[in-house]
Amino acid sequence: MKHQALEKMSRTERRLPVIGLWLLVLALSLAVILHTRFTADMSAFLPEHPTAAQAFLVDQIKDGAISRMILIGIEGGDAATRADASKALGTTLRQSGLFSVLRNGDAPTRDQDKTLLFDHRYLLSPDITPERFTVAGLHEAIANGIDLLASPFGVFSQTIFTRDPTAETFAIVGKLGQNTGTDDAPRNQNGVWVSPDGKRALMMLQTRAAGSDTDAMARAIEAVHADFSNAVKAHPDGSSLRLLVSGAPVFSVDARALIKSDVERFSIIGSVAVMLLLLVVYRSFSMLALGLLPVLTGIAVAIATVSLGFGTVHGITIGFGTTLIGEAIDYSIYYFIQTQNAPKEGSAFRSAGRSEGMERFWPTIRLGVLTSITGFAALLFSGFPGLAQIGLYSIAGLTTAALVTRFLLPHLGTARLNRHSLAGIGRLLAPIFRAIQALRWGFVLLALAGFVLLVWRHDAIWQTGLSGLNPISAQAQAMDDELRADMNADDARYFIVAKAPTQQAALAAAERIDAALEPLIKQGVLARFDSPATFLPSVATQRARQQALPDRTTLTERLDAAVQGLPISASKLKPFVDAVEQARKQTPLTPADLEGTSFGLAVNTLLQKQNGQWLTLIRLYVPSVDTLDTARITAALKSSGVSDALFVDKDAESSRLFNSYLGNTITLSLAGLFGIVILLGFVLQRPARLIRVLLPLLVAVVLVMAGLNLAGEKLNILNLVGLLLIVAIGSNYALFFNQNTAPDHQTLASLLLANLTTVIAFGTLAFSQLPILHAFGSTVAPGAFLALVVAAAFAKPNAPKAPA
Amino acid sequence: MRQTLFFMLLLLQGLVQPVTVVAAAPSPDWSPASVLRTLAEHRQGEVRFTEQKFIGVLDTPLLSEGTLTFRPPDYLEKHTTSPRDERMTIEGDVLAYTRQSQTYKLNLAEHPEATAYANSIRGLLNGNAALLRKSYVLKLSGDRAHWVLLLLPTDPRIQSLIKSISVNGSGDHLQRIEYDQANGDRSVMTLLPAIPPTP
Repeated sequence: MKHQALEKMSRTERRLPVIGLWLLVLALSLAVILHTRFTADMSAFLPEHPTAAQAFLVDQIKDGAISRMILIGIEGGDAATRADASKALGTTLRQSGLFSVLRNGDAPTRDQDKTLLFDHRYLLSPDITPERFTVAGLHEAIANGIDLLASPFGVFSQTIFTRDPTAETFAIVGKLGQNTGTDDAPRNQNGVWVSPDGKRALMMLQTRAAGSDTDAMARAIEAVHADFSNAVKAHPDGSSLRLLVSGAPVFSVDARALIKSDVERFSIIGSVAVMLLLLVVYRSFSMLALGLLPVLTGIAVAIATVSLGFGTVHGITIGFGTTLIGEAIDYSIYYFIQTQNAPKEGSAFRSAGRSEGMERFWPTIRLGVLTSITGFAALLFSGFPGLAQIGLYSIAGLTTAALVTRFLLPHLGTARLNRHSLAGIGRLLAPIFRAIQALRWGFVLLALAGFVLLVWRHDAIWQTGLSGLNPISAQAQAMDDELRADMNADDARYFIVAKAPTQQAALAAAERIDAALEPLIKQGVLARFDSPATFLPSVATQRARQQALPDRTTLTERLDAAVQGLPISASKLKPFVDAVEQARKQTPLTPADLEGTSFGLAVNTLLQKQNGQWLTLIRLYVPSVDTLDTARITAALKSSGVSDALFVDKDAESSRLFNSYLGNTITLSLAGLFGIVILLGFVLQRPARLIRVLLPLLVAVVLVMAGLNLAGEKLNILNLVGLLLIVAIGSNYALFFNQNTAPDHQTLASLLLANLTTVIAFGTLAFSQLPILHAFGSTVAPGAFLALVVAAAFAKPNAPKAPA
Repeated sequence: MRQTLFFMLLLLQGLVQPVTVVAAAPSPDWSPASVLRTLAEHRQGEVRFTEQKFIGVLDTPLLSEGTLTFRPPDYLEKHTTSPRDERMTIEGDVLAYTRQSQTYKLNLAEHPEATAYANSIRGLLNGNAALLRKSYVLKLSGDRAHWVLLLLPTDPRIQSLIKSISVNGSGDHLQRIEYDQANGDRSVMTLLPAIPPTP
């Protein structure tokens, strides 16, 4: 009695500080959340510390040229209307300033291309050497130029012949044509690009903003739609046209929208369903509100912790986190049910019953929370920031929820549970419980069968490649493939990558690599390659070419001698002499000068700024994928003298990357599992008890894996996290079933209720279109239920007794 | 075969220029249409040519010779054997030009005028005067033994490049095609009498 009075007094004394502390933590968390940046791009599920080749791949996915490229198709109407719309759209989008490159075959680009090439022919032509400007060299070059005059290309060259008698423009176009595969460019009809069947006008855009800036991507796509609808309105036949927009920016914007909407929808559905269930059982709003307190506090603290730890919070983390309701709500369920077993009314006794209940429930919950934390702690070491976030979120959220349940709820709890209804449910459950117990070894046999199945089909368990996490619908992917095929913009596979401190150094490196690769084309190892230096030589090379140009007096002298025997007199070539003189003083071209031309696109794509460094990409085209001799390419790279030049096979690298991270996550999950076993072993002490707790979890995990495999689902890293979650959640059930006494009716009822909330919260996720959320849901929902049933089967064998 | 030549020449010289053709109304039995029809009927697969090009900037005309080949429906080849070996082919929309073991390709579809032109020529090769009349005025003069068919472009854009094309022939033989550019340059292709066919 004295003890109880003391207890009561101290509780009253602690009441204010506890509530104050809780409010303070909540307020701080909310303050942090208000300043939190939420992201929803899929890059959080790309590795953070990859190898050099993987880093290239990841950066390309995040911020590479492809990540900024939008493909557009215009369908419907007739060819002329489509062409008009394409031109009108091209004009307004060029003016918008949102795009660094816009190509639709329209004249502006071609004219800019021609002007740029012609004006800088003496800096760009690969043929400019001192030898070319000797008497013999000039003679031969001009004779060649005269041949061209008489050729079909004379139509082009006659207007510029006196300025370009050595046909440098032709040499440049020839080289570019070869290297860019002019044959690959889309067909031009009515002055715009069209698909091979001519039924679609095509356009390619590159945004100025980085591909990882999803807001900017959304603005760019919006501009495309708005300008298109204006262009359509302005055209008399415009209403028949349809716009197709695809490319990585569209995917990332769509993925974000999908993540947002799915996270919102499934959080709301799950939460409402859980609350309805609790309301039905509790029959009290105040009790529901109290029960939600630990969960909501946990979510707030968890978001704030992740925000502080990572700087941003990913939408998937939130989506996953709300399912934490399913587990955190369990704590308050156990608390209410277990602490309200007091047999009599009256405040003193209630208090006694409550504290006795607390002694019963808290150690089990504490162990359950510790188990979960141990499991999730492994995720903190994951190479995927997204998984590490989920780990931190879960640890912070569950710890908070448990602490709030333990220390705050006793100060607030005045609501009374209608224990009769729960006891009634418990009584109904008792025969089911006994029946399940009889099936104990049946589950083990089933699990063994599942294990055999998994061993037999071990090659088909895991997903390979990153595409499994891709939230893009098959339909959108098909449209993208179609537009890409129309545009001959297929995804490139082989690259050479080199880094340099400056843009010019990167170009110079490209030139050295080009020189080393050139022989491989002749040897048939490579079909061709695209290098930034093909489109734009380094300033050093351009200056060297300027050095090769003789001054006016020298050139005039040599020209007089060079035209001997040619049907042209030197006096007619004065424009040539002027042009050479002018070229000697020209400022060399830099990538910035190429903006708006088609070379600009190429150079932009192949020369990228990254983390203060410049990245040179050389895209390789191979005659045959099967017989590619990578050793000779590597040897050529070595001979180029560019020490960090790296040959990258994107396809191989991406599956290697995924596999290494899958392996990494498997290791971490096993480490988490191992930690859980150690922890439980330490606490439970007796091996028999440990096995009783662990075996159901193992059975549940095996059955879920086998079930998903049979359903044709391949597991990805998120499924793996789900499996870990089954162990974390299921260990609570197993522990409750293995307390010192056999589970009573209240315990049975509370476990079933706790389990239902978990199954509901995760079960709704299984319906998400997002592979990540779907993976969680389809793993944890059945897994948690199985864990409960199998744990019940392995509970203390004696039948539950109703409380005295 | 003479038409082939004709076709060839027009193509060679008017590559980027649009052309359309119209015939003037002649006497009912001897007209541009009947001359074209006769040429089409006596078409040969291959013929040798010599060509003189008078280019304003050059002091002397450029001389060349070679073989012209036509394979229906639309394959054309101009193989120059002297002074340098060069080969130009047109098939479908693609023009390919090979010299010094390098091939350059040009997509005619990128130049709508050229496409219209090529299609007109194809009509001409098949003796389809109606098609030609869409872009040219056709004027026939002389008599059956020595006739001249003059093609005058009607489209101002074409006029800015081509002044006229005159086709000289005798009976069902094409003898010479002269091509006068608006800038004063000129070329004359002479078709040599048929030689025994070589594979």
